[in-house]
Amino acid sequence: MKNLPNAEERRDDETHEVLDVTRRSSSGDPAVQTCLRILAVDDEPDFLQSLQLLLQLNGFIVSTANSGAMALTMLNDGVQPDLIVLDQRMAGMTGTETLKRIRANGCRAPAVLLSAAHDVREIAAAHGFHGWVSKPCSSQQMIEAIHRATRGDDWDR
Amino acid sequence: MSAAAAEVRFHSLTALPDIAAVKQAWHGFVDRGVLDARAVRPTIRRAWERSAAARCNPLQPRADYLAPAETIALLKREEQLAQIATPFLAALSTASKGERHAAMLTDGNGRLLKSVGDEQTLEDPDFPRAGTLLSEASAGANGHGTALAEGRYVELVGPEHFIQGFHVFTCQGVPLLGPAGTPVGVLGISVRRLEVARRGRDILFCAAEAAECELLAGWLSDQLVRLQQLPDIFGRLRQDIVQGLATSRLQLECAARDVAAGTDGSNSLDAVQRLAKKFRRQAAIWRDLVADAPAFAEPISLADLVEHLLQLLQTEARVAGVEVIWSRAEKVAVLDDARGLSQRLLAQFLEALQEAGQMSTMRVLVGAAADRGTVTFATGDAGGTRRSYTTSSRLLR
Repeated sequence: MKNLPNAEERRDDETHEVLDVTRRSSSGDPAVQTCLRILAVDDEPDFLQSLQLLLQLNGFIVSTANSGAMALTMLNDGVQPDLIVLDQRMAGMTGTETLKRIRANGCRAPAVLLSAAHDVREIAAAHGFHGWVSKPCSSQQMIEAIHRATRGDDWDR
Repeated sequence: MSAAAAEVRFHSLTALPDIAAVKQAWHGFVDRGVLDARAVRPTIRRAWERSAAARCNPLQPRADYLAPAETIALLKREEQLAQIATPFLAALSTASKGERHAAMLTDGNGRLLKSVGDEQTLEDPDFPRAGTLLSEASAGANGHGTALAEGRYVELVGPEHFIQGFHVFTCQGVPLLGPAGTPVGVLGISVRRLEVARRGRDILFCAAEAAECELLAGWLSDQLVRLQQLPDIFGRLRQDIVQGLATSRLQLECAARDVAAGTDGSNSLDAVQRLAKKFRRQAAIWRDLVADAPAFAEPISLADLVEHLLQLLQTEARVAGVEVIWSRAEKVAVLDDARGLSQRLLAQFLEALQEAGQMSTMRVLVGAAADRGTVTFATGDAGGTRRSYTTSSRLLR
Protein backbone atom coordinates (compact mmCIF):
# COMPACT_ATOMS: atom_id res chain seq x y z
CA MET A 1 0.00 0.00 0.00
CA LYS A 2 1.61 3.27 -0.99
CA ASN A 3 0.71 6.92 -1.50
CA LEU A 4 -2.76 6.48 -0.10
CA PRO A 5 -4.59 9.78 -0.03
CA ASN A 6 -5.73 10.75 3.43
CA ALA A 7 -9.32 11.56 4.27
CA GLU A 8 -8.85 15.30 3.79
CA GLU A 9 -7.47 14.83 0.31
CA ARG A 10 -10.26 12.52 -0.74
CA ARG A 11 -13.20 14.64 0.29
CA ASP A 12 -13.97 18.18 1.25
CA ASP A 13 -16.26 19.45 3.99
CA GLU A 14 -19.52 19.28 2.15
CA THR A 15 -19.07 16.45 -0.31
CA HIS A 16 -19.42 12.86 0.75
CA GLU A 17 -17.27 10.62 -1.31
CA VAL A 18 -18.72 7.27 -2.26
CA LEU A 19 -16.76 4.57 -0.50
CA ASP A 20 -17.31 0.91 0.19
CA VAL A 21 -15.67 -1.51 2.59
CA THR A 22 -12.96 -1.52 -0.01
CA ARG A 23 -11.78 1.63 -1.72
CA ARG A 24 -9.72 2.30 -4.77
CA SER A 25 -6.05 2.95 -4.38
CA SER A 26 -4.52 6.24 -5.44
CA SER A 27 -3.18 4.54 -8.56
CA GLY A 28 -6.71 4.76 -9.93
CA ASP A 29 -6.67 1.11 -10.89
CA PRO A 30 -10.09 -0.26 -9.92
CA ALA A 31 -8.59 -3.71 -9.53
CA VAL A 32 -6.28 -2.49 -6.78
CA GLN A 33 -8.40 -1.99 -3.72
CA THR A 34 -7.61 -1.50 -0.06
CA CYS A 35 -9.79 -1.89 3.02
CA LEU A 36 -11.51 0.95 4.81
CA ARG A 37 -9.69 2.07 7.92
CA ILE A 38 -11.94 2.69 10.91
CA LEU A 39 -11.06 4.41 14.16
CA ALA A 40 -13.52 3.21 16.83
CA VAL A 41 -13.70 5.20 20.07
CA ASP A 42 -15.55 3.92 23.15
CA ASP A 43 -14.67 3.75 26.84
CA GLU A 44 -16.30 0.35 27.30
CA PRO A 45 -13.40 -2.06 26.67
CA ASP A 46 -15.43 -5.24 26.09
CA PHE A 47 -17.71 -3.50 23.63
CA LEU A 48 -14.77 -1.98 21.79
CA GLN A 49 -12.93 -5.29 21.57
CA SER A 50 -15.96 -7.16 20.20
CA LEU A 51 -16.70 -4.38 17.73
CA GLN A 52 -13.10 -4.40 16.52
CA LEU A 53 -13.13 -8.16 16.04
CA LEU A 54 -16.43 -8.23 14.16
CA LEU A 55 -15.50 -5.33 11.88
CA GLN A 56 -12.13 -6.93 11.15
CA LEU A 57 -13.87 -10.19 10.26
CA ASN A 58 -15.86 -8.15 7.75
CA GLY A 59 -12.77 -6.78 6.08
CA PHE A 60 -12.24 -3.46 7.84
CA ILE A 61 -8.94 -2.31 9.32
CA VAL A 62 -9.81 -1.15 12.81
CA SER A 63 -7.88 0.97 15.28
CA THR A 64 -9.38 1.62 18.70
CA ALA A 65 -9.20 4.34 21.32
CA ASN A 66 -10.74 4.14 24.77
CA SER A 67 -11.31 7.88 25.13
CA GLY A 68 -11.72 11.03 23.10
CA ALA A 69 -8.31 12.21 24.29
CA MET A 70 -6.66 9.01 23.09
CA ALA A 71 -8.36 9.34 19.70
CA LEU A 72 -7.03 12.88 19.34
CA THR A 73 -3.54 11.71 20.24
CA MET A 74 -3.71 8.90 17.69
CA LEU A 75 -4.85 11.30 14.98
CA ASN A 76 -2.08 13.73 15.88
CA ASP A 77 0.37 10.85 15.73
CA GLY A 78 -0.54 10.16 12.12
CA VAL A 79 -3.39 7.63 12.21
CA GLN A 80 -5.49 8.40 9.14
CA PRO A 81 -8.86 6.70 9.32
CA ASP A 82 -11.36 6.72 6.50
CA LEU A 83 -14.14 6.88 9.07
CA ILE A 84 -14.41 7.49 12.81
CA VAL A 85 -16.97 5.79 15.07
CA LEU A 86 -17.50 7.75 18.30
CA ASP A 87 -19.44 6.74 21.37
CA GLN A 88 -21.30 9.67 22.90
CA ARG A 89 -21.27 8.99 26.63
CA MET A 90 -17.61 8.73 27.57
CA ALA A 91 -15.61 9.88 30.56
CA GLY A 92 -13.54 13.00 29.98
CA MET A 93 -14.84 14.03 26.58
CA THR A 94 -18.16 13.12 24.99
CA GLY A 95 -18.35 11.93 21.39
CA THR A 96 -19.66 15.29 20.19
CA GLU A 97 -16.90 17.18 22.03
CA THR A 98 -14.32 14.81 20.59
CA LEU A 99 -15.59 15.36 17.06
CA LYS A 100 -15.43 19.12 17.55
CA ARG A 101 -11.77 18.83 18.57
CA ILE A 102 -11.05 16.44 15.72
CA ARG A 103 -12.47 18.92 13.22
CA ALA A 104 -10.58 21.79 14.85
CA ASN A 105 -7.41 19.78 14.26
CA GLY A 106 -8.22 19.53 10.58
CA CYS A 107 -9.32 15.91 10.22
CA ARG A 108 -12.31 15.62 7.88
CA ALA A 109 -12.92 11.87 7.96
CA PRO A 110 -16.65 11.10 8.12
CA ALA A 111 -17.86 10.26 11.62
CA VAL A 112 -20.64 8.03 12.96
CA LEU A 113 -22.15 8.64 16.39
CA LEU A 114 -22.86 5.64 18.59
CA SER A 115 -25.23 6.09 21.51
CA ALA A 116 -27.99 4.52 23.58
CA ALA A 117 -29.73 7.90 23.84
CA HIS A 118 -33.21 7.85 22.33
CA ASP A 119 -32.43 11.06 20.43
CA VAL A 120 -29.15 9.82 18.95
CA ARG A 121 -30.19 10.86 15.45
CA GLU A 122 -30.89 14.45 16.52
CA ILE A 123 -27.62 14.68 18.46
CA ALA A 124 -25.69 13.33 15.48
CA ALA A 125 -27.37 15.72 13.06
CA ALA A 126 -26.80 18.72 15.30
CA HIS A 127 -23.08 18.05 15.69
CA GLY A 128 -21.99 17.35 12.14
CA PHE A 129 -21.85 13.56 12.19
CA HIS A 130 -22.30 11.71 8.92
CA GLY A 131 -24.33 8.93 10.49
CA TRP A 132 -25.54 7.35 13.68
CA VAL A 133 -26.09 3.97 15.27
CA SER A 134 -28.40 3.33 18.17
CA LYS A 135 -27.05 1.02 20.89
CA PRO A 136 -27.50 -1.89 21.26
CA CYS A 137 -26.60 -2.71 17.68
CA SER A 138 -25.44 -5.71 15.71
CA SER A 139 -22.23 -5.66 13.68
CA GLN A 140 -24.43 -5.70 10.58
CA GLN A 141 -26.19 -2.50 11.66
CA MET A 142 -22.82 -0.93 12.32
CA ILE A 143 -21.52 -1.94 8.89
CA GLU A 144 -24.65 -0.58 7.21
CA ALA A 145 -24.18 2.72 9.07
CA ILE A 146 -20.56 2.87 7.94
CA HIS A 147 -21.62 2.30 4.34
CA ARG A 148 -24.32 4.95 4.56
CA ALA A 149 -21.98 7.46 6.19
CA THR A 150 -19.31 6.96 3.57
CA ARG A 151 -21.95 7.36 0.87
CA GLY A 152 -23.37 10.35 2.73
CA ASP A 153 -26.97 9.14 2.75
CA ASP A 154 -27.58 8.37 6.43
CA TRP A 155 -29.96 11.28 6.82
CA ASP A 156 -32.41 9.76 4.35
CA ARG A 157 -33.43 7.21 6.97
CA MET B 1 -39.39 -14.08 37.44
CA SER B 2 -37.12 -15.36 40.21
CA ALA B 3 -33.60 -16.60 39.58
CA ALA B 4 -34.69 -20.08 40.65
CA ALA B 5 -37.47 -20.07 38.08
CA ALA B 6 -35.02 -18.97 35.40
CA GLU B 7 -32.77 -21.91 36.22
CA VAL B 8 -35.66 -24.33 35.89
CA ARG B 9 -36.73 -22.74 32.63
CA PHE B 10 -33.27 -23.17 31.17
CA HIS B 11 -32.70 -26.61 32.57
CA SER B 12 -32.03 -29.14 29.85
CA LEU B 13 -33.89 -32.40 29.69
CA THR B 14 -32.28 -35.61 30.84
CA ALA B 15 -30.11 -37.89 28.71
CA LEU B 16 -30.85 -37.96 24.99
CA PRO B 17 -33.30 -40.63 23.87
CA ASP B 18 -32.77 -43.93 22.09
CA ILE B 19 -34.16 -42.89 18.71
CA ALA B 20 -35.14 -46.40 17.58
CA ALA B 21 -37.01 -47.01 20.84
CA VAL B 22 -38.81 -43.67 20.58
CA LYS B 23 -39.77 -44.43 16.98
CA GLN B 24 -41.28 -47.70 18.10
CA ALA B 25 -43.06 -45.98 20.99
CA TRP B 26 -44.42 -43.35 18.60
CA HIS B 27 -45.91 -46.06 16.38
CA GLY B 28 -47.36 -47.78 19.44
CA PHE B 29 -48.96 -44.54 20.57
CA VAL B 30 -50.39 -43.32 17.26
CA ASP B 31 -51.37 -46.76 15.89
CA ARG B 32 -52.71 -48.42 19.04
CA GLY B 33 -52.95 -45.65 21.64
CA VAL B 34 -50.43 -47.45 23.87
CA LEU B 35 -47.71 -45.29 25.42
CA ASP B 36 -44.45 -47.02 26.38
CA ALA B 37 -43.46 -44.76 29.27
CA ARG B 38 -39.96 -46.26 29.55
CA ALA B 39 -38.97 -45.31 26.02
CA VAL B 40 -40.19 -41.72 26.08
CA ARG B 41 -38.91 -38.85 28.18
CA PRO B 42 -41.49 -37.41 30.65
CA THR B 43 -41.73 -34.03 28.89
CA ILE B 44 -42.37 -35.74 25.57
CA ARG B 45 -44.86 -38.12 27.14
CA ARG B 46 -46.89 -35.21 28.47
CA ALA B 47 -46.63 -33.42 25.12
CA TRP B 48 -47.88 -36.48 23.18
CA GLU B 49 -50.78 -36.87 25.56
CA ARG B 50 -51.72 -33.20 25.13
CA SER B 51 -51.34 -33.50 21.34
CA ALA B 52 -53.61 -36.54 21.20
CA ALA B 53 -56.15 -34.90 23.50
CA ALA B 54 -56.23 -31.91 21.10
CA ARG B 55 -56.95 -34.38 18.26
CA CYS B 56 -53.85 -33.39 16.37
CA ASN B 57 -53.25 -35.62 13.33
CA PRO B 58 -49.85 -37.37 13.76
CA LEU B 59 -49.68 -38.40 10.11
CA GLN B 60 -49.80 -34.90 8.68
CA PRO B 61 -46.67 -34.05 6.67
CA ARG B 62 -46.65 -30.41 7.72
CA ALA B 63 -48.23 -27.97 10.16
CA ASP B 64 -51.27 -25.87 9.29
CA TYR B 65 -50.94 -22.17 8.69
CA LEU B 66 -52.95 -18.97 8.80
CA ALA B 67 -54.58 -17.41 5.75
CA PRO B 68 -52.37 -14.80 4.00
CA ALA B 69 -54.38 -11.83 5.31
CA GLU B 70 -54.22 -13.17 8.88
CA THR B 71 -50.48 -13.73 8.53
CA ILE B 72 -49.95 -10.15 7.38
CA ALA B 73 -51.98 -8.86 10.34
CA LEU B 74 -50.02 -11.12 12.72
CA LEU B 75 -46.66 -9.91 11.41
CA LYS B 76 -47.75 -6.30 11.73
CA ARG B 77 -48.95 -6.85 15.30
CA GLU B 78 -45.74 -8.58 16.35
CA GLU B 79 -43.37 -6.35 14.39
CA GLN B 80 -41.54 -5.12 17.49
CA LEU B 81 -40.90 -8.63 18.83
CA ALA B 82 -39.62 -9.76 15.44
CA GLN B 83 -37.37 -6.72 15.19
CA ILE B 84 -35.89 -7.35 18.62
CA ALA B 85 -35.35 -11.05 17.91
CA THR B 86 -33.82 -10.61 14.45
CA PRO B 87 -30.15 -10.26 15.50
CA PHE B 88 -30.53 -13.27 17.79
CA LEU B 89 -32.06 -15.37 15.03
CA ALA B 90 -29.07 -14.35 12.92
CA ALA B 91 -26.65 -15.39 15.67
CA LEU B 92 -28.38 -18.76 16.06
CA SER B 93 -28.23 -19.28 12.32
CA THR B 94 -24.54 -18.34 12.22
CA ALA B 95 -23.81 -20.92 14.92
CA SER B 96 -25.50 -23.64 12.80
CA LYS B 97 -23.78 -22.63 9.58
CA GLY B 98 -22.83 -25.58 7.43
CA GLU B 99 -25.87 -27.70 8.19
CA ARG B 100 -29.51 -27.58 7.18
CA HIS B 101 -31.22 -25.51 9.83
CA ALA B 102 -33.67 -22.74 10.67
CA ALA B 103 -33.69 -20.41 13.66
CA MET B 104 -37.30 -19.50 14.32
CA LEU B 105 -39.38 -17.06 16.31
CA THR B 106 -42.99 -17.70 17.23
CA ASP B 107 -45.40 -15.46 19.12
CA GLY B 108 -46.94 -16.25 22.52
CA ASN B 109 -49.50 -18.51 20.78
CA GLY B 110 -46.96 -20.50 18.79
CA ARG B 111 -47.56 -18.75 15.46
CA LEU B 112 -44.41 -18.51 13.39
CA LEU B 113 -43.22 -14.95 12.83
CA LYS B 114 -39.79 -15.27 11.32
CA SER B 115 -37.21 -17.86 10.24
CA VAL B 116 -33.54 -17.45 9.40
CA GLY B 117 -31.63 -20.39 7.97
CA ASP B 118 -30.16 -22.04 4.93
CA GLU B 119 -31.91 -21.58 1.62
CA GLN B 120 -32.70 -25.27 1.09
CA THR B 121 -34.52 -25.58 4.41
CA LEU B 122 -36.44 -22.32 4.12
CA GLU B 123 -37.54 -23.10 0.55
CA ASP B 124 -38.79 -26.58 1.39
CA PRO B 125 -42.59 -26.29 0.83
CA ASP B 126 -43.26 -28.55 3.84
CA PHE B 127 -41.11 -26.49 6.20
CA PRO B 128 -42.95 -24.02 8.46
CA ARG B 129 -43.20 -20.50 7.12
CA ALA B 130 -44.52 -17.21 8.59
CA GLY B 131 -48.06 -17.80 9.83
CA THR B 132 -47.55 -21.53 10.50
CA LEU B 133 -49.36 -22.71 13.62
CA LEU B 134 -46.87 -24.41 15.93
CA SER B 135 -48.95 -24.59 19.09
CA GLU B 136 -49.26 -28.17 20.36
CA ALA B 137 -52.97 -28.16 19.59
CA SER B 138 -52.18 -27.52 15.90
CA ALA B 139 -48.80 -29.15 15.31
CA GLY B 140 -48.46 -31.57 18.22
CA ALA B 141 -45.27 -31.86 20.26
CA ASN B 142 -42.63 -29.54 18.76
CA GLY B 143 -39.90 -27.15 19.87
CA HIS B 144 -42.20 -24.13 20.00
CA GLY B 145 -45.61 -25.37 21.09
CA THR B 146 -44.16 -27.68 23.73
CA ALA B 147 -41.85 -24.95 25.08
CA LEU B 148 -44.97 -22.79 25.53
CA ALA B 149 -46.99 -25.61 27.10
CA GLU B 150 -44.18 -26.58 29.49
CA GLY B 151 -43.10 -22.99 30.13
CA ARG B 152 -39.43 -23.84 29.73
CA TYR B 153 -36.68 -25.00 27.40
CA VAL B 154 -37.44 -28.18 25.49
CA GLU B 155 -35.60 -30.29 22.94
CA LEU B 156 -37.25 -32.82 20.67
CA VAL B 157 -35.22 -35.27 18.67
CA GLY B 158 -36.72 -36.82 15.50
CA PRO B 159 -39.68 -39.07 16.38
CA GLU B 160 -40.26 -37.24 19.65
CA HIS B 161 -42.17 -34.76 17.47
CA PHE B 162 -45.82 -35.73 17.30
CA ILE B 163 -46.41 -35.18 13.61
CA GLN B 164 -44.52 -37.32 11.16
CA GLY B 165 -43.49 -34.40 8.98
CA PHE B 166 -41.13 -33.17 11.71
CA HIS B 167 -39.41 -36.51 12.37
CA VAL B 168 -36.27 -35.58 10.42
CA PHE B 169 -35.55 -32.61 12.68
CA THR B 170 -34.08 -31.94 16.10
CA CYS B 171 -35.77 -28.88 17.53
CA GLN B 172 -35.07 -26.78 20.59
CA GLY B 173 -37.14 -23.91 21.93
CA VAL B 174 -37.04 -21.47 24.85
CA PRO B 175 -40.02 -19.32 25.83
CA LEU B 176 -39.27 -15.59 25.82
CA LEU B 177 -40.67 -13.74 28.80
CA GLY B 178 -41.78 -10.15 28.41
CA PRO B 179 -41.22 -7.41 31.01
CA ALA B 180 -44.38 -8.54 32.83
CA GLY B 181 -42.90 -12.04 33.24
CA THR B 182 -45.34 -13.76 30.88
CA PRO B 183 -44.37 -15.60 27.67
CA VAL B 184 -44.47 -13.37 24.59
CA GLY B 185 -42.90 -15.84 22.19
CA VAL B 186 -40.48 -18.70 21.66
CA LEU B 187 -36.99 -18.60 20.22
CA GLY B 188 -35.96 -21.90 18.69
CA ILE B 189 -33.58 -23.69 16.39
CA SER B 190 -34.31 -26.69 14.18
CA VAL B 191 -31.59 -28.74 12.53
CA ARG B 192 -31.95 -31.63 10.11
CA ARG B 193 -29.86 -33.97 12.28
CA LEU B 194 -30.94 -36.29 15.06
CA GLU B 195 -28.86 -34.99 17.94
CA VAL B 196 -28.60 -31.91 20.13
CA ALA B 197 -25.36 -29.97 19.88
CA ARG B 198 -24.42 -28.70 23.34
CA ARG B 199 -22.91 -25.46 22.04
CA GLY B 200 -26.00 -24.77 19.96
CA ARG B 201 -28.07 -25.16 23.10
CA ASP B 202 -25.82 -22.76 25.03
CA ILE B 203 -26.14 -20.19 22.26
CA LEU B 204 -29.93 -20.58 22.30
CA PHE B 205 -30.05 -19.96 26.07
CA CYS B 206 -27.87 -16.87 25.72
CA ALA B 207 -29.83 -15.56 22.75
CA ALA B 208 -33.12 -15.99 24.63
CA GLU B 209 -31.69 -14.29 27.69
CA ALA B 210 -30.35 -11.39 25.61
CA ALA B 211 -33.63 -11.05 23.69
CA GLU B 212 -35.55 -10.84 26.97
CA CYS B 213 -33.17 -8.15 28.18
CA GLU B 214 -33.85 -6.17 25.02
CA LEU B 215 -37.58 -6.50 25.55
CA LEU B 216 -37.00 -5.11 29.04
CA ALA B 217 -34.82 -2.31 27.64
CA GLY B 218 -37.69 -1.41 25.31
CA TRP B 219 -39.97 -1.26 28.32
CA LEU B 220 -37.55 1.08 30.12
CA SER B 221 -37.59 3.40 27.10
CA ASP B 222 -41.38 3.34 27.02
CA GLN B 223 -41.42 4.29 30.70
CA LEU B 224 -39.10 7.18 29.99
CA VAL B 225 -41.47 8.47 27.34
CA ARG B 226 -44.54 7.85 29.50
CA LEU B 227 -43.12 9.55 32.60
CA GLN B 228 -42.01 12.70 30.84
CA GLN B 229 -41.45 14.62 34.08
CA LEU B 230 -38.65 12.25 35.12
CA PRO B 231 -35.35 14.03 35.79
CA ASP B 232 -32.65 13.68 33.10
CA ILE B 233 -30.61 11.36 35.29
CA PHE B 234 -33.05 8.52 34.56
CA GLY B 235 -32.46 8.89 30.83
CA ARG B 236 -28.71 8.76 31.40
CA LEU B 237 -28.98 5.75 33.70
CA ARG B 238 -31.10 3.95 31.10
CA GLN B 239 -28.33 4.55 28.57
CA ASP B 240 -25.77 3.13 30.97
CA ILE B 241 -27.89 0.03 31.54
CA VAL B 242 -28.34 -0.44 27.79
CA GLN B 243 -24.57 -0.17 27.24
CA GLY B 244 -24.21 -3.59 28.86
CA LEU B 245 -26.67 -4.99 26.32
CA ALA B 246 -24.72 -3.46 23.47
CA THR B 247 -21.65 -5.36 24.61
CA SER B 248 -23.63 -8.53 25.17
CA ARG B 249 -25.11 -8.46 21.67
CA LEU B 250 -21.70 -8.19 20.00
CA GLN B 251 -20.26 -10.91 22.22
CA LEU B 252 -23.09 -13.23 21.28
CA GLU B 253 -22.20 -12.64 17.63
CA CYS B 254 -18.57 -13.48 18.40
CA ALA B 255 -19.63 -16.66 20.22
CA ALA B 256 -21.87 -17.71 17.32
CA ARG B 257 -18.96 -17.34 14.92
CA ASP B 258 -16.70 -19.32 17.25
CA VAL B 259 -19.24 -22.14 17.46
CA ALA B 260 -19.67 -22.19 13.68
CA ALA B 261 -15.90 -22.37 13.29
CA GLY B 262 -15.72 -25.24 15.77
CA THR B 263 -13.78 -23.21 18.31
CA ASP B 264 -14.69 -22.66 21.93
CA GLY B 265 -17.04 -19.73 22.39
CA SER B 266 -17.59 -20.35 26.08
CA ASN B 267 -15.85 -17.17 27.24
CA SER B 268 -18.12 -15.01 25.13
CA LEU B 269 -21.18 -16.99 26.19
CA ASP B 270 -20.26 -16.64 29.86
CA ALA B 271 -19.81 -12.90 29.35
CA VAL B 272 -23.24 -12.67 27.68
CA GLN B 273 -24.88 -14.39 30.63
CA ARG B 274 -22.99 -12.27 33.15
CA LEU B 275 -24.02 -9.08 31.34
CA ALA B 276 -27.62 -10.25 31.14
CA LYS B 277 -27.71 -10.82 34.91
CA LYS B 278 -26.18 -7.42 35.56
CA PHE B 279 -28.66 -5.82 33.18
CA ARG B 280 -31.65 -7.42 34.89
CA ARG B 281 -30.41 -6.33 38.32
CA GLN B 282 -29.82 -2.77 37.19
CA ALA B 283 -33.10 -2.62 35.28
CA ALA B 284 -34.89 -3.76 38.45
CA ILE B 285 -33.31 -0.93 40.45
CA TRP B 286 -34.18 1.59 37.75
CA ARG B 287 -37.72 0.25 37.71
CA ASP B 288 -37.96 0.64 41.50
CA LEU B 289 -36.63 4.16 41.34
CA VAL B 290 -39.25 5.36 38.87
CA ALA B 291 -42.15 3.26 40.16
CA ASP B 292 -45.12 4.98 41.71
CA ALA B 293 -46.17 1.96 43.76
CA PRO B 294 -47.31 2.60 47.35
CA ALA B 295 -44.53 2.65 49.93
CA PHE B 296 -44.22 0.01 52.64
CA ALA B 297 -41.52 -0.66 55.20
CA GLU B 298 -39.50 -3.83 54.78
CA PRO B 299 -36.18 -5.24 56.04
CA ILE B 300 -33.34 -4.02 53.84
CA SER B 301 -29.64 -4.86 53.79
CA LEU B 302 -28.06 -1.42 53.46
CA ALA B 303 -24.80 -2.79 52.06
CA ASP B 304 -26.61 -4.72 49.30
CA LEU B 305 -28.78 -1.77 48.38
CA VAL B 306 -25.82 0.62 48.25
CA GLU B 307 -23.72 -1.81 46.24
CA HIS B 308 -26.42 -2.29 43.60
CA LEU B 309 -27.06 1.42 43.42
CA LEU B 310 -23.36 2.16 43.02
CA GLN B 311 -23.13 -0.37 40.19
CA LEU B 312 -25.92 1.47 38.45
CA LEU B 313 -24.23 4.84 39.05
CA GLN B 314 -20.73 3.71 38.08
CA THR B 315 -20.76 5.34 34.64
CA GLU B 316 -22.38 8.53 35.94
CA ALA B 317 -19.48 8.88 38.39
CA ARG B 318 -16.88 8.00 35.74
CA VAL B 319 -18.27 10.57 33.31
CA ALA B 320 -18.25 13.16 36.12
CA GLY B 321 -14.59 12.31 36.73
CA VAL B 322 -15.19 11.23 40.33
CA GLU B 323 -13.62 8.12 41.80
CA VAL B 324 -16.04 6.38 44.13
CA ILE B 325 -14.41 4.48 46.98
CA TRP B 326 -16.60 1.86 48.52
CA SER B 327 -15.54 -0.91 50.81
CA ARG B 328 -18.33 -3.36 51.33
CA ALA B 329 -19.50 -2.86 54.91
CA GLU B 330 -20.59 -5.32 57.53
CA LYS B 331 -24.23 -6.24 57.49
CA VAL B 332 -26.47 -3.39 58.59
CA ALA B 333 -30.15 -4.23 58.31
CA VAL B 334 -32.74 -1.46 58.46
CA LEU B 335 -36.50 -1.21 58.24
CA ASP B 336 -37.51 1.23 55.53
CA ASP B 337 -39.36 1.71 52.27
CA ALA B 338 -36.85 0.35 49.71
CA ARG B 339 -38.01 2.61 46.91
CA GLY B 340 -38.06 5.76 49.05
CA LEU B 341 -34.66 4.93 50.50
CA SER B 342 -33.19 4.26 47.03
CA GLN B 343 -34.54 7.59 45.82
CA ARG B 344 -33.06 9.42 48.82
CA LEU B 345 -29.72 7.73 48.31
CA LEU B 346 -29.76 8.58 44.60
CA ALA B 347 -30.51 12.24 45.33
CA GLN B 348 -27.69 12.45 47.87
CA PHE B 349 -25.25 10.63 45.63
CA LEU B 350 -25.94 13.08 42.80
CA GLU B 351 -25.58 16.04 45.13
CA ALA B 352 -22.29 14.69 46.44
CA LEU B 353 -21.12 14.01 42.89
CA GLN B 354 -21.77 17.60 41.90
CA GLU B 355 -20.00 18.86 45.01
CA ALA B 356 -17.02 16.56 44.45
CA GLY B 357 -16.19 17.90 40.98
CA GLN B 358 -13.76 16.52 38.40
CA MET B 359 -10.71 14.51 39.42
CA SER B 360 -11.83 14.01 43.00
CA THR B 361 -13.01 11.17 45.18
CA MET B 362 -16.18 10.24 47.01
CA ARG B 363 -16.16 7.79 49.90
CA VAL B 364 -19.26 5.76 50.58
CA LEU B 365 -19.71 4.51 54.13
CA VAL B 366 -22.39 2.28 55.59
CA GLY B 367 -22.65 2.12 59.36
CA ALA B 368 -24.87 2.06 62.42
CA ALA B 369 -25.23 4.67 65.14
CA ALA B 370 -27.63 4.33 68.07
CA ASP B 371 -30.87 3.00 66.57
CA ARG B 372 -30.17 4.22 63.02
CA GLY B 373 -28.45 2.62 60.05
CA THR B 374 -26.60 5.23 57.99
CA VAL B 375 -25.18 5.73 54.52
CA THR B 376 -22.74 8.59 54.08
CA PHE B 377 -21.36 10.04 50.86
CA ALA B 378 -18.26 12.02 51.77
CA THR B 379 -16.47 14.19 49.23
CA GLY B 380 -12.92 15.39 49.58
CA ASP B 381 -9.36 14.45 48.80
CA ALA B 382 -6.34 13.09 50.61
CA GLY B 383 -6.46 16.17 52.87
CA GLY B 384 -9.77 15.09 54.39
CA THR B 385 -13.51 15.23 54.00
CA ARG B 386 -14.88 18.39 52.44
CA ARG B 387 -18.55 17.65 52.82
CA SER B 388 -20.67 14.66 53.70
CA TYR B 389 -24.27 13.66 53.01
CA THR B 390 -25.96 11.15 55.27
CA THR B 391 -29.19 9.21 54.97
CA SER B 392 -30.46 7.17 57.87
CA SER B 393 -33.13 4.55 58.48
CA ARG B 394 -34.39 2.69 61.53
CA LEU B 395 -32.00 -0.05 62.48
CA LEU B 396 -33.42 -3.56 62.49
CA ARG B 397 -32.07 -5.55 65.42
